[in-house]
Amino acid sequence: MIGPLIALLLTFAVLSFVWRDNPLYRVAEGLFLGVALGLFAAFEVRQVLLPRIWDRLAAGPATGPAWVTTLLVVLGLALMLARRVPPLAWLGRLPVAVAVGSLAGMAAAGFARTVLVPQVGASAASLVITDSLSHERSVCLLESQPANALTNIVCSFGPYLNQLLILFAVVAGLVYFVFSRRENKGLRAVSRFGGWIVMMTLGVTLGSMAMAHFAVTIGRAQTMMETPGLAVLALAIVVLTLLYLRRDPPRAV
Amino acid sequence: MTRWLAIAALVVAVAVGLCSTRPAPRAGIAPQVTQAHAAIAELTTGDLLVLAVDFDPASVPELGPFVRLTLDIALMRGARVITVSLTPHGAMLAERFLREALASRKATYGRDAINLGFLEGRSAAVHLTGIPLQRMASRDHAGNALGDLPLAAEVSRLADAASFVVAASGAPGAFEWLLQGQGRFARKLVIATTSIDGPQLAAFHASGQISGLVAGARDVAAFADIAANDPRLRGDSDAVGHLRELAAQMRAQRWAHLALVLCLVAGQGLTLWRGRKKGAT
Amino acid sequence: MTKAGAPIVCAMVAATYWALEPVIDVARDGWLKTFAADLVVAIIAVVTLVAIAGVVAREGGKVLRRESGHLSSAIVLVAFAVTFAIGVAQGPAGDWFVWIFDYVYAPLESSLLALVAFALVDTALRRMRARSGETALIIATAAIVMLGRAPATSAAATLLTPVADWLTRVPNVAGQRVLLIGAAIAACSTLLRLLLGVERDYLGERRS
Repeated sequence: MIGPLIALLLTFAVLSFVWRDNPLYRVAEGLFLGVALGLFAAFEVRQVLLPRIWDRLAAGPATGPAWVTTLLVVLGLALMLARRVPPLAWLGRLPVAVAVGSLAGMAAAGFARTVLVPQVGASAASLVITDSLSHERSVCLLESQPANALTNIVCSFGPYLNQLLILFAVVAGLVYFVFSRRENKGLRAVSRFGGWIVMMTLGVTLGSMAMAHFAVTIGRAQTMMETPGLAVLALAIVVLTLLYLRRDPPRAV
Repeated sequence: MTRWLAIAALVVAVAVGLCSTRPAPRAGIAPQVTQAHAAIAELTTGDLLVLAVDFDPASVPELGPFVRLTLDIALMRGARVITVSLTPHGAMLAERFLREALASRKATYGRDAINLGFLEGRSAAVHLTGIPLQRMASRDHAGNALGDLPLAAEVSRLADAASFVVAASGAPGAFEWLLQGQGRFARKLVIATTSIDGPQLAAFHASGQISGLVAGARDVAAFADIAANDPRLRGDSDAVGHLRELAAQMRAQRWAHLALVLCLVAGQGLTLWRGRKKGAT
Repeated sequence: MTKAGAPIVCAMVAATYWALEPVIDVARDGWLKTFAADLVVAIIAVVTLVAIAGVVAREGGKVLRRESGHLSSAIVLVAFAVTFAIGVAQGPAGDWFVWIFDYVYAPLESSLLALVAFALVDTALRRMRARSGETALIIATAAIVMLGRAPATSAAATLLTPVADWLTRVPNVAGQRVLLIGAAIAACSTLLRLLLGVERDYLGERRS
């Protein structure tokens, strides 16, 4: 009872921002920041530092390489904390450099393996007839029952035309981004087509983004409808508080 | 005034959508959703499913039913489940979903499933799934020593799982698992995501790098629809219940989208009208 | 090795290891990989804690100096202290910690994101204008995707759903590939800059 009521009060306090910025919203915002920071910090201590360092150190050298690893990790952390001591500050840059180097290396290897090779490869795959295209054709024919001459043509050539379009659109999109000087007429046309493709992609992303945010709003509304009595009570409390605060707005919040 | 009109349009649309009982127009099921369902429903007794729960509480309306259904199907098929998360809130949600699924399937924590919890390190955490489980983590989400959990002793490393399912929104999430894990670890990688990440992940599905893709509430509803009609699941899963919950959400979505498009059209009209008025004066 | 050179060499070694890891780490369960991954995990954990401490200290400063809005800062501090203390004492599966997550964190986070939907409809009515062909294309595509993916009527389902699906499967896939290839080139160029010692922003140095 208390938990759901508090949850609803906080929901309406945040949604009151739709009316305008107000002290109740700022209290809810501060509460969120504090709880989020506390949640993340507690996880770092209990789920990361404690099991990864303390448990292994406590287990002693019997754990073999893991113990040596942990000692080195502890040394890295000590270096990190050395940043607070000016003469040793340069030592503190070492762990940061390791993290930056590691993440950059991982990202480049990941992108090369997962994006560059397969995505370029998949775009070029339209030049050969692949199994997935044949599968797409049979699915199209199955969905278009009863089939006629038009659906036969659409299903037979559609998947291949789509693949060719993707290949051309990828090239055009790259031209749109890479060539800033487009003196050649042909290049200008290709670039313009690439621009349309990028705009359509942004449109799909915008539409999808709206759908995701509506889903969140609908989720909150569904929660309110689970306990309508509590929701009305919470709304009344929030509205009355806002009316009271409107008369005498606190400056400290 | 126009601002209040826009807000009222959204509130009315959501309220009407949630209160209405009119059935949704029947939409086709995308092949990537069928593939996602197949990868999970094909699990057999003893198979290991690794489920990464990497979404926030705000995404629960969209992805919650998918995770509940996936856990339900996996446990029903006799598969063993290990959940992991790249975010603290994901770990909290995974714990709740797992406990619910274990209770409804009368399965035992530690023997049939484990929640490893939060894995710090973003991309580096994904790499840790390639090393032996005992070296990767020493405790689960609740702080139990892994040595005390029988399932942990049976699994050599997470990368050997029969299926890898990622339910994620935002970062860190699906992109980290894809970039560092795809093609190296998982035999089958299924991704479920909110509508917002769907367009980007569509490119990975088109290139065959993802075994199945479920993007947004519409796809989750389609996933539940397939599960409800799958003879292998003998109508035993809770798919019908999830389907009802998602149908209400989709009705509200339809109305909300309509409200937004109407606002867009009205906005263009308003500009034209103001422009003419200005021209006339 | 000089004080300035040591971090650069560390970054180079770490970047080289991780860039070549798919090739060189033949024995995947080797201790080298465990060490390298553990090191990154521990550093990120400490960096996160240091960042959190920084925010808490800033809010604490506001309270001490009684700046405007110091009550909000005090709320941040109290909420942080309570959540952190309970989290460390009970662990993430503790009853109180779960209660805070379910009834405070989750509704606040969801409601803050729900605000975006209100901002979206407001922007659609008052600010989103098709002033050029390109913006018209963005708006039209977004409208078709929204109406097609959650169709209101059977007619919309027949007409718009296939178009919305085609837009997602064909032009969107092509556009996403262009953006992904761009991101991949950027990631590779960052790695190259690190390996050549040109990239030094992470040291707090900025070249003119």
